[in-house]
Amino acid sequence: MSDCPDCGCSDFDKCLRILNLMLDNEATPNQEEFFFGHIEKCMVCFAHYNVEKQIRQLLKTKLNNKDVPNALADEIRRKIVS
Amino acid sequence: MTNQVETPVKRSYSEAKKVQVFDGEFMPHIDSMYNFAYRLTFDEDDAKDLVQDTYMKAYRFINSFQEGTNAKAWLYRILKNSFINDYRKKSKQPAKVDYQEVEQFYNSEDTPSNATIDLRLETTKDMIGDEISNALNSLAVDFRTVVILCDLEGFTYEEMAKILDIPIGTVRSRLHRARNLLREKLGSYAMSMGYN
Repeated sequence: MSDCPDCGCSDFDKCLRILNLMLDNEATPNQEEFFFGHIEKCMVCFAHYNVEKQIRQLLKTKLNNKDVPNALADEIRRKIVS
Repeated sequence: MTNQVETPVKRSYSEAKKVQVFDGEFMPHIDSMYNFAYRLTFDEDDAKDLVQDTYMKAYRFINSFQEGTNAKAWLYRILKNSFINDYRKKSKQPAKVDYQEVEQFYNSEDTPSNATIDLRLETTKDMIGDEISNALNSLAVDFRTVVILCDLEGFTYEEMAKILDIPIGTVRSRLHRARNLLREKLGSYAMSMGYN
């Protein structure tokens, strides 16, 4: 019986749960072993894993950061010693 | 839950030591703090005020901070609380969407299929960065916050639970929902970048 009728993956819910833990470095070695073994056989979960990984990579590398206003650190220091 | 914030142990640093701790442990995080504040407020002046308030509070309560522990998580917690208590009420942020609305939108079958922006033709780094920022900024503040804390800053579930004062299970479910929303917005672009 498939957990996901659309994709046919028999462990889809479990895989999603583990994938989320893996993305957050919270999965146990056993969970990771299960997942990596699974995606060798399941294209749906493999694709899902890679899209999620890619989105995280985009967030980490492409997100525009604001420069801290030059005077901010000095203002803060001035206030704490006054 | 036990951490230095919720069960503070009072120390008594000398004035010189306070400044040393402040400069050595708090100030190195000002860049992250400012960007976090900006991503909460969408306003440079508000972000600046929020960071100042955060550092003032951190200094005022510095005797509750144990040198060498997680200063960054402590500062994030102070900033998040200041945002909730002081700034959210008078927020200038545009098109604020509440949690319920986001859930309803996400669960709606009427969500337009073209809601996902196709970025395949956009090639410059700035444009990509803007789109990523827009996708993140379009999330309701509670979802945006967990993505920032987890994906950008690398905090653990336990640290996030302490920063946000919510159970770990709530951290996990918020992250899960936030990721679903981000996948809606950025999934096609992520796929177009390939993963071979």
